Amino acid sequence: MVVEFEGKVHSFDGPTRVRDLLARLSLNSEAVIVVVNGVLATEDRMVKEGENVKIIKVVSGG
Amino acid sequence: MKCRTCGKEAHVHIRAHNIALCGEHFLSFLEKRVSETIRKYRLIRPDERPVVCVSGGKDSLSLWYILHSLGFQVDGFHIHLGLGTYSDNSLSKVKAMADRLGRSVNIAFLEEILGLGIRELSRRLKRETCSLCGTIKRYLMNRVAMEKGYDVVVLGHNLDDEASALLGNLLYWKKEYLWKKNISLEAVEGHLAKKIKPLFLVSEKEMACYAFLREIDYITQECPFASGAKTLLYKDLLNRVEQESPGTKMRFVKGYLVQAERNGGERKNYFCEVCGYPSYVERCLVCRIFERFGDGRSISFNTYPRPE
Repeated sequence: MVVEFEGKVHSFDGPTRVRDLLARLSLNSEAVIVVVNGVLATEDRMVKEGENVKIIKVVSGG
Repeated sequence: MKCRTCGKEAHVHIRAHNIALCGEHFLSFLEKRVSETIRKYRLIRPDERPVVCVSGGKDSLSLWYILHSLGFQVDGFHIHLGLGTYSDNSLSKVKAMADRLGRSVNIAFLEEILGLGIRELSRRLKRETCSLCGTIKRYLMNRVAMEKGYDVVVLGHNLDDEASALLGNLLYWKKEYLWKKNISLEAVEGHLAKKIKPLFLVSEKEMACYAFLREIDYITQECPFASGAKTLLYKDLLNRVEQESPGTKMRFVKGYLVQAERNGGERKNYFCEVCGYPSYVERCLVCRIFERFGDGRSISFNTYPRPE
Protein backbone atom coordinates (compact mmCIF):
# COMPACT_ATOMS: atom_id res chain seq x y z
CA MET A 1 0.00 0.00 0.00
CA VAL A 2 1.00 3.59 -0.53
CA VAL A 3 1.27 5.88 2.50
CA GLU A 4 1.64 9.62 1.95
CA PHE A 5 2.98 11.80 4.73
CA GLU A 6 4.33 15.34 4.49
CA GLY A 7 4.93 15.13 0.76
CA LYS A 8 6.79 11.81 0.96
CA VAL A 9 5.44 8.49 -0.24
CA HIS A 10 6.15 5.30 1.71
CA SER A 11 5.34 1.77 0.57
CA PHE A 12 4.33 -0.99 2.95
CA ASP A 13 3.13 -4.53 2.49
CA GLY A 14 -0.42 -5.13 3.64
CA PRO A 15 -2.66 -5.90 5.26
CA THR A 16 -1.80 -3.96 8.38
CA ARG A 17 -3.59 -1.90 11.00
CA VAL A 18 -3.38 1.91 11.09
CA ARG A 19 -1.75 1.81 14.54
CA ASP A 20 1.03 -0.43 13.18
CA LEU A 21 1.60 1.92 10.25
CA LEU A 22 1.98 4.82 12.68
CA ALA A 23 4.38 2.80 14.81
CA ARG A 24 6.50 1.95 11.76
CA LEU A 25 6.71 5.66 10.91
CA SER A 26 7.35 6.55 14.59
CA LEU A 27 4.27 8.79 14.66
CA ASN A 28 2.18 9.63 17.68
CA SER A 29 -1.53 9.06 17.02
CA GLU A 30 -2.32 12.22 19.02
CA ALA A 31 -0.37 14.31 16.53
CA VAL A 32 -1.85 13.06 13.24
CA ILE A 33 -5.06 12.02 11.57
CA VAL A 34 -5.16 9.12 9.14
CA VAL A 35 -7.26 9.09 5.98
CA VAL A 36 -7.79 5.82 4.11
CA ASN A 37 -9.26 6.11 0.61
CA GLY A 38 -10.44 9.62 1.47
CA VAL A 39 -12.18 8.61 4.72
CA LEU A 40 -11.01 9.21 8.31
CA ALA A 41 -9.78 6.02 9.94
CA THR A 42 -9.40 4.93 13.55
CA GLU A 43 -6.26 3.14 14.73
CA ASP A 44 -7.80 -0.31 14.60
CA ARG A 45 -8.77 0.06 10.90
CA MET A 46 -7.16 -2.72 8.83
CA VAL A 47 -5.59 -1.35 5.66
CA LYS A 48 -5.53 -3.74 2.75
CA GLU A 49 -3.14 -4.01 -0.15
CA GLY A 50 -3.98 -1.40 -2.80
CA GLU A 51 -5.64 1.09 -0.46
CA ASN A 52 -4.37 4.67 -0.31
CA VAL A 53 -3.35 6.11 3.03
CA LYS A 54 -2.73 9.77 3.76
CA ILE A 55 -1.40 10.88 7.12
CA ILE A 56 -2.02 14.51 8.05
CA LYS A 57 -0.10 16.28 10.80
CA VAL A 58 -2.41 18.14 13.17
CA VAL A 59 0.04 19.99 15.39
CA SER A 60 0.69 23.61 14.61
CA GLY A 61 1.87 26.66 16.41
CA GLY A 62 4.78 28.88 16.99
CA MET B 1 -14.50 0.10 16.19
CA LYS B 2 -18.19 1.05 16.13
CA CYS B 3 -19.89 4.40 16.61
CA ARG B 4 -21.25 4.61 20.14
CA THR B 5 -24.37 6.41 18.90
CA CYS B 6 -25.45 4.53 15.76
CA GLY B 7 -23.31 1.37 15.71
CA LYS B 8 -21.94 2.05 12.21
CA GLU B 9 -18.21 2.05 11.51
CA ALA B 10 -16.43 4.65 13.66
CA HIS B 11 -14.18 7.22 12.01
CA VAL B 12 -12.94 9.09 15.06
CA HIS B 13 -11.70 7.62 18.33
CA ILE B 14 -11.38 10.17 21.12
CA ARG B 15 -9.27 8.38 23.69
CA ALA B 16 -9.52 11.16 26.26
CA HIS B 17 -13.29 10.66 26.34
CA ASN B 18 -13.10 6.92 25.66
CA ILE B 19 -15.54 7.24 22.82
CA ALA B 20 -15.60 6.24 19.14
CA LEU B 21 -17.98 7.92 16.71
CA CYS B 22 -18.86 7.96 13.02
CA GLY B 23 -18.23 11.22 11.16
CA GLU B 24 -21.78 12.50 11.45
CA HIS B 25 -22.05 11.86 15.18
CA PHE B 26 -18.56 13.19 15.89
CA LEU B 27 -19.52 16.51 14.28
CA SER B 28 -22.62 16.88 16.42
CA PHE B 29 -20.68 15.68 19.53
CA LEU B 30 -18.04 18.37 19.06
CA GLU B 31 -20.46 21.16 18.18
CA LYS B 32 -22.54 20.28 21.24
CA ARG B 33 -19.46 20.44 23.49
CA VAL B 34 -18.53 23.89 22.16
CA SER B 35 -22.12 25.03 22.64
CA GLU B 36 -22.11 23.70 26.23
CA THR B 37 -18.80 25.43 26.96
CA ILE B 38 -20.25 28.73 25.72
CA ARG B 39 -23.33 28.25 27.89
CA LYS B 40 -21.57 26.93 31.02
CA TYR B 41 -18.96 29.69 31.10
CA ARG B 42 -21.37 32.36 29.76
CA LEU B 43 -18.95 33.20 26.99
CA ILE B 44 -21.37 34.98 24.65
CA ARG B 45 -24.48 36.62 26.06
CA PRO B 46 -27.50 37.13 23.79
CA ASP B 47 -26.97 40.90 23.59
CA GLU B 48 -23.27 40.63 22.72
CA ARG B 49 -21.79 41.01 19.24
CA PRO B 50 -18.81 38.69 18.70
CA VAL B 51 -15.91 38.85 16.24
CA VAL B 52 -13.75 35.77 15.67
CA CYS B 53 -10.04 36.17 15.00
CA VAL B 54 -9.16 33.99 12.04
CA SER B 55 -5.61 33.20 11.02
CA GLY B 56 -6.51 30.87 8.16
CA GLY B 57 -5.61 27.80 10.23
CA LYS B 58 -7.87 24.85 11.07
CA ASP B 59 -8.85 25.94 14.57
CA SER B 60 -10.01 29.50 13.93
CA LEU B 61 -11.74 28.71 10.63
CA SER B 62 -13.49 25.70 12.16
CA LEU B 63 -14.50 27.79 15.17
CA TRP B 64 -16.02 30.42 12.87
CA TYR B 65 -17.94 27.64 11.11
CA ILE B 66 -19.12 26.12 14.42
CA LEU B 67 -20.28 29.46 15.85
CA HIS B 68 -22.15 30.17 12.62
CA SER B 69 -23.74 26.70 12.76
CA LEU B 70 -24.79 27.34 16.35
CA GLY B 71 -26.67 30.43 15.19
CA PHE B 72 -24.27 33.18 16.24
CA GLN B 73 -23.94 36.15 13.89
CA VAL B 74 -20.16 36.34 13.79
CA ASP B 75 -17.86 38.42 11.61
CA GLY B 76 -14.18 37.61 11.21
CA PHE B 77 -10.99 39.56 11.85
CA HIS B 78 -7.73 38.74 10.10
CA ILE B 79 -4.26 40.27 10.36
CA HIS B 80 -2.10 40.11 7.24
CA LEU B 81 1.43 40.04 8.66
CA GLY B 82 3.22 40.81 5.40
CA LEU B 83 4.96 37.43 5.24
CA GLY B 84 4.75 36.97 1.46
CA THR B 85 2.93 33.92 0.13
CA TYR B 86 2.31 32.58 3.65
CA SER B 87 0.26 35.67 4.52
CA ASP B 88 -1.40 35.82 1.09
CA ASN B 89 -2.44 32.16 1.26
CA SER B 90 -3.75 32.59 4.80
CA LEU B 91 -5.87 35.53 3.70
CA SER B 92 -7.31 33.62 0.74
CA LYS B 93 -8.46 30.80 3.09
CA VAL B 94 -10.11 33.36 5.35
CA LYS B 95 -11.89 35.01 2.44
CA ALA B 96 -13.09 31.62 1.19
CA MET B 97 -14.66 30.91 4.59
CA ALA B 98 -16.28 34.37 4.66
CA ASP B 99 -17.82 33.54 1.27
CA ARG B 100 -18.93 30.10 2.47
CA LEU B 101 -20.64 31.51 5.54
CA GLY B 102 -21.91 34.68 3.87
CA ARG B 103 -20.21 36.79 6.56
CA SER B 104 -17.76 39.65 6.34
CA VAL B 105 -14.21 39.80 7.59
CA ASN B 106 -12.24 42.83 8.79
CA ILE B 107 -8.67 42.78 7.58
CA ALA B 108 -5.67 44.65 8.97
CA PHE B 109 -2.67 44.81 6.64
CA LEU B 110 0.43 45.38 8.73
CA GLU B 111 2.32 46.79 5.76
CA GLU B 112 -0.45 49.36 5.28
CA ILE B 113 -0.54 50.27 8.95
CA LEU B 114 3.18 50.42 9.71
CA GLY B 115 4.74 50.53 6.27
CA LEU B 116 6.50 47.21 6.87
CA GLY B 117 5.74 43.58 7.66
CA ILE B 118 6.42 41.70 10.89
CA ARG B 119 9.79 40.29 9.76
CA GLU B 120 11.22 43.70 8.94
CA LEU B 121 9.67 45.30 12.01
CA SER B 122 11.27 42.65 14.22
CA ARG B 123 14.63 43.28 12.56
CA ARG B 124 14.38 47.06 12.88
CA LEU B 125 13.33 46.92 16.54
CA LYS B 126 15.74 44.09 17.37
CA ARG B 127 12.91 42.23 19.08
CA GLU B 128 12.02 38.56 18.96
CA THR B 129 9.44 38.07 16.17
CA CYS B 130 6.88 35.80 17.90
CA SER B 131 6.62 37.95 21.00
CA LEU B 132 6.34 41.13 18.92
CA CYS B 133 3.73 39.49 16.68
CA GLY B 134 1.69 38.49 19.76
CA THR B 135 1.79 42.04 21.13
CA ILE B 136 0.66 43.56 17.84
CA LYS B 137 -2.07 40.97 17.37
CA ARG B 138 -3.47 41.61 20.88
CA TYR B 139 -3.46 45.35 20.21
CA LEU B 140 -5.19 45.07 16.83
CA MET B 141 -7.76 42.56 18.11
CA ASN B 142 -8.69 44.95 20.88
CA ARG B 143 -8.72 47.91 18.53
CA VAL B 144 -10.98 46.33 15.92
CA ALA B 145 -13.42 45.38 18.67
CA MET B 146 -13.40 48.89 20.17
CA GLU B 147 -13.67 50.70 16.83
CA LYS B 148 -16.14 48.41 15.12
CA GLY B 149 -18.42 47.91 18.11
CA TYR B 150 -17.78 44.22 18.82
CA ASP B 151 -18.34 43.16 22.43
CA VAL B 152 -16.51 39.85 22.37
CA VAL B 153 -13.22 38.83 20.73
CA VAL B 154 -13.32 35.10 20.03
CA LEU B 155 -10.03 33.18 19.87
CA GLY B 156 -9.42 29.71 18.43
CA HIS B 157 -6.93 28.49 21.03
CA ASN B 158 -7.46 24.78 21.62
CA LEU B 159 -6.71 22.44 24.51
CA ASP B 160 -3.21 21.67 23.21
CA ASP B 161 -2.38 25.37 22.83
CA GLU B 162 -3.44 26.01 26.42
CA ALA B 163 -1.73 22.92 27.84
CA SER B 164 1.56 23.72 26.11
CA ALA B 165 1.47 27.37 27.20
CA LEU B 166 0.71 26.26 30.75
CA LEU B 167 3.57 23.77 30.71
CA GLY B 168 5.93 26.50 29.47
CA ASN B 169 4.81 28.87 32.22
CA LEU B 170 5.32 26.17 34.83
CA LEU B 171 8.70 25.00 33.59
CA TYR B 172 10.08 28.52 33.81
CA TRP B 173 7.85 29.58 36.74
CA LYS B 174 6.55 32.58 34.86
CA LYS B 175 4.44 33.77 37.75
CA GLU B 176 3.47 36.95 35.89
CA TYR B 177 1.63 34.81 33.32
CA LEU B 178 0.80 31.70 35.30
CA TRP B 179 -2.67 32.55 36.62
CA LYS B 180 -3.71 34.82 33.77
CA LYS B 181 -4.94 32.21 31.35
CA ASN B 182 -8.62 31.52 31.35
CA ILE B 183 -11.46 30.49 29.16
CA SER B 184 -12.79 34.03 29.34
CA LEU B 185 -11.28 37.41 30.13
CA GLU B 186 -13.88 40.01 31.05
CA ALA B 187 -13.98 43.43 29.43
CA VAL B 188 -12.71 46.58 31.09
CA GLU B 189 -14.92 49.43 29.95
CA GLY B 190 -13.14 51.70 27.50
CA HIS B 191 -9.87 49.75 27.73
CA LEU B 192 -10.30 46.12 26.88
CA ALA B 193 -12.84 44.05 24.97
CA LYS B 194 -13.97 40.73 26.44
CA LYS B 195 -11.95 37.76 25.13
CA ILE B 196 -13.14 34.18 25.02
CA LYS B 197 -11.75 30.78 23.99
CA PRO B 198 -14.60 28.36 23.22
CA LEU B 199 -12.15 25.60 22.13
CA PHE B 200 -10.30 25.63 25.47
CA LEU B 201 -11.30 22.03 26.16
CA VAL B 202 -11.20 20.66 22.59
CA SER B 203 -8.00 18.93 21.48
CA GLU B 204 -6.01 19.81 18.40
CA LYS B 205 -6.64 16.37 16.94
CA GLU B 206 -10.40 16.75 17.38
CA MET B 207 -10.23 20.09 15.58
CA ALA B 208 -8.28 18.54 12.71
CA CYS B 209 -10.91 15.77 12.42
CA TYR B 210 -13.64 18.41 12.45
CA ALA B 211 -11.95 20.50 9.74
CA PHE B 212 -11.43 17.39 7.60
CA LEU B 213 -15.02 16.19 7.94
CA ARG B 214 -16.46 19.66 7.26
CA GLU B 215 -14.09 20.06 4.29
CA ILE B 216 -12.71 23.27 5.72
CA ASP B 217 -9.91 24.51 3.51
CA TYR B 218 -7.23 25.76 5.89
CA ILE B 219 -3.59 26.71 5.53
CA THR B 220 -1.31 23.76 6.23
CA GLN B 221 1.89 25.71 5.71
CA GLU B 222 3.51 26.59 9.04
CA CYS B 223 4.34 30.18 9.95
CA PRO B 224 7.97 30.75 8.81
CA PHE B 225 8.87 31.52 12.42
CA ALA B 226 7.28 28.41 13.95
CA SER B 227 10.24 26.17 13.24
CA GLY B 228 12.02 25.31 16.47
CA ALA B 229 9.37 27.09 18.57
CA LYS B 230 9.14 25.79 22.13
CA THR B 231 5.37 25.46 21.76
CA LEU B 232 5.95 22.60 19.32
CA LEU B 233 8.35 20.90 21.71
CA TYR B 234 5.88 21.17 24.60
CA LYS B 235 3.05 19.87 22.43
CA ASP B 236 5.17 16.90 21.45
CA LEU B 237 6.02 16.15 25.09
CA LEU B 238 2.39 16.41 26.15
CA ASN B 239 1.25 14.20 23.27
CA ARG B 240 3.73 11.53 24.32
CA VAL B 241 2.24 11.55 27.80
CA GLU B 242 -1.27 11.63 26.34
CA GLN B 243 -0.59 8.56 24.23
CA GLU B 244 0.40 6.58 27.32
CA SER B 245 -2.21 8.12 29.55
CA PRO B 246 -5.26 9.42 27.63
CA GLY B 247 -7.00 12.39 29.19
CA THR B 248 -3.88 13.90 30.75
CA LYS B 249 -4.02 17.15 28.78
CA MET B 250 -7.67 17.61 29.69
CA ARG B 251 -7.01 16.97 33.39
CA PHE B 252 -4.01 19.32 33.30
CA VAL B 253 -6.02 22.21 31.85
CA LYS B 254 -9.20 21.57 33.81
CA GLY B 255 -7.14 21.30 37.00
CA TYR B 256 -5.51 24.59 36.11
CA LEU B 257 -8.93 26.29 35.80
CA VAL B 258 -9.78 25.17 39.34
CA GLN B 259 -6.40 26.32 40.68
CA ALA B 260 -6.64 29.64 38.82
CA GLU B 261 -9.98 30.26 40.50
CA ARG B 262 -8.33 29.76 43.91
CA ASN B 263 -4.96 31.39 43.28
CA GLY B 264 -5.65 33.97 40.60
CA GLY B 265 -6.74 36.71 42.96
CA GLU B 266 -8.08 39.99 41.73
CA ARG B 267 -6.78 41.10 38.39
CA LYS B 268 -4.82 44.35 38.55
CA ASN B 269 -5.10 46.36 35.38
CA TYR B 270 -2.62 48.91 34.17
CA PHE B 271 -3.20 50.92 31.03
CA CYS B 272 -1.13 52.74 28.45
CA GLU B 273 -1.41 56.49 28.97
CA VAL B 274 -1.58 57.06 25.20
CA CYS B 275 -3.99 54.42 23.84
CA GLY B 276 -5.60 53.27 27.09
CA TYR B 277 -5.10 49.59 26.31
CA PRO B 278 -3.57 47.17 28.85
CA SER B 279 0.13 47.80 29.47
CA TYR B 280 2.58 47.47 32.34
CA VAL B 281 4.52 50.53 31.20
CA GLU B 282 3.36 54.12 30.74
CA ARG B 283 3.43 53.95 26.95
CA CYS B 284 2.76 50.53 25.50
CA LEU B 285 5.07 48.97 22.94
CA VAL B 286 2.60 49.46 20.08
CA CYS B 287 2.25 53.19 20.81
CA ARG B 288 6.05 53.44 20.82
CA ILE B 289 6.11 51.60 17.49
CA PHE B 290 3.57 54.08 16.10
CA GLU B 291 5.93 56.91 17.01
CA ARG B 292 8.48 55.47 14.59
CA PHE B 293 6.38 53.67 12.00
CA GLY B 294 3.02 54.60 10.52
CA ASP B 295 0.33 56.63 12.19
CA GLY B 296 -1.66 54.84 14.84
CA ARG B 297 -4.29 57.53 15.19
CA SER B 298 -6.32 56.19 12.31
CA ILE B 299 -6.16 52.59 11.21
CA SER B 300 -8.29 51.58 8.27
CA PHE B 301 -9.60 48.07 8.65
CA ASN B 302 -10.41 46.71 5.22
CA THR B 303 -13.64 44.81 4.86
CA TYR B 304 -14.23 41.74 2.71
CA PRO B 305 -16.54 41.52 0.88
CA ARG B 306 -16.40 45.25 0.25
CA PRO B 307 -19.56 46.98 1.43
CA GLU B 308 -21.85 47.89 -1.49
